[in-house]
Amino acid sequence: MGKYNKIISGFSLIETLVGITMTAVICSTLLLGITQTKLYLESIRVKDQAFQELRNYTNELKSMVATGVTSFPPNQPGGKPVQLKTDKEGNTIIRGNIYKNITRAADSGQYSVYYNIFTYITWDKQKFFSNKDERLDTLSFNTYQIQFQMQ
Amino acid sequence: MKKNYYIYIEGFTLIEMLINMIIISTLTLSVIFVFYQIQVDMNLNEVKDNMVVYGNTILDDLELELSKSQRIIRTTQSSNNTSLDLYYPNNEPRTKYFISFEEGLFKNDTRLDTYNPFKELPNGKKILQYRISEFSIDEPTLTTGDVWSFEANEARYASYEIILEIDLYNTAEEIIETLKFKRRVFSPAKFIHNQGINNA
Repeated sequence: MGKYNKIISGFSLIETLVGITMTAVICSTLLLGITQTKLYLESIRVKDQAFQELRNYTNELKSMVATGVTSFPPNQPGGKPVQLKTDKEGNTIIRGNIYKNITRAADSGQYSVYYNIFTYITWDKQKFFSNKDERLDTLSFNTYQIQFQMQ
Repeated sequence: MKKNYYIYIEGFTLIEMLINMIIISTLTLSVIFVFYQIQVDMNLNEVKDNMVVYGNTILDDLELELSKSQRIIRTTQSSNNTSLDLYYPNNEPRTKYFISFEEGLFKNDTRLDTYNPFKELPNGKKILQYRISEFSIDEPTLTTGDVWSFEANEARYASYEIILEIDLYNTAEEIIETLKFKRRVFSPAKFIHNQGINNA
């Protein structure tokens, strides 16, 4: 009389778990990449907004110097606050702080008075895995403006 | 004689196949949904980037011309249309700007940069993607800033503050975001012109 042996083959538990783990790792990497790209895009927009705010502020100071203003108030503690990113209700999500340093140029003459205007803005970076020491991002302008002599 | 008979049962059972099909269908639907969302998001970001470039381009052009002009005349033709005439020293030819919320900005009757608010879908339907919702150009108020003096006010009288807002719409034509631009422009030509009037 013969003997019947039944052989049932398929994936083992380990093989299945390895497959699931590999799929999960690939999906996580993809989603993390997409999130990082979106954050990077957003950081470029925040930087552009910071650039616009700093340019407006510097233009304002240049116009003051040009028309003959000679004394400027000191920086307020923590700098001048500006909104760089807001939510739909208008609440500030990322805030920038603008600082200035205006000095009469050392070689400014009696009839050609001009000033050095140094302005900069700082704001918090929003980034995954960011180093705490590199938390702040900044932009700065260093420019000169002549004072108009209207007789 | 004793014989051994082997029956090989290889392959998936019906239950395994069904579970497999359900898992694959779920994964496929999830991936399709995620990629659809990414595509929608990318389209919105593309429109947003185009409008950021458009806003900055027209404001850069306005800033350059305003800094050279000594006088402007504003005419608000309707709530959606504004025209500006810029006059320069030495009787140089004037520059005309026309800002329409529907048509964008024109400089001397020529459209400045690309402004196509409507996107045509494959079925022929047109959907609104963006639209200018606010444009204003005014002198800064005397309370603006933190410097208070006669000279500081002279600077304000010779400056302009331009506000531009552009609404972005989704495929259902609902406003999803408003891009806000603000530009401060100082016009040396206007300052000299103002001084001439004051001294006269």
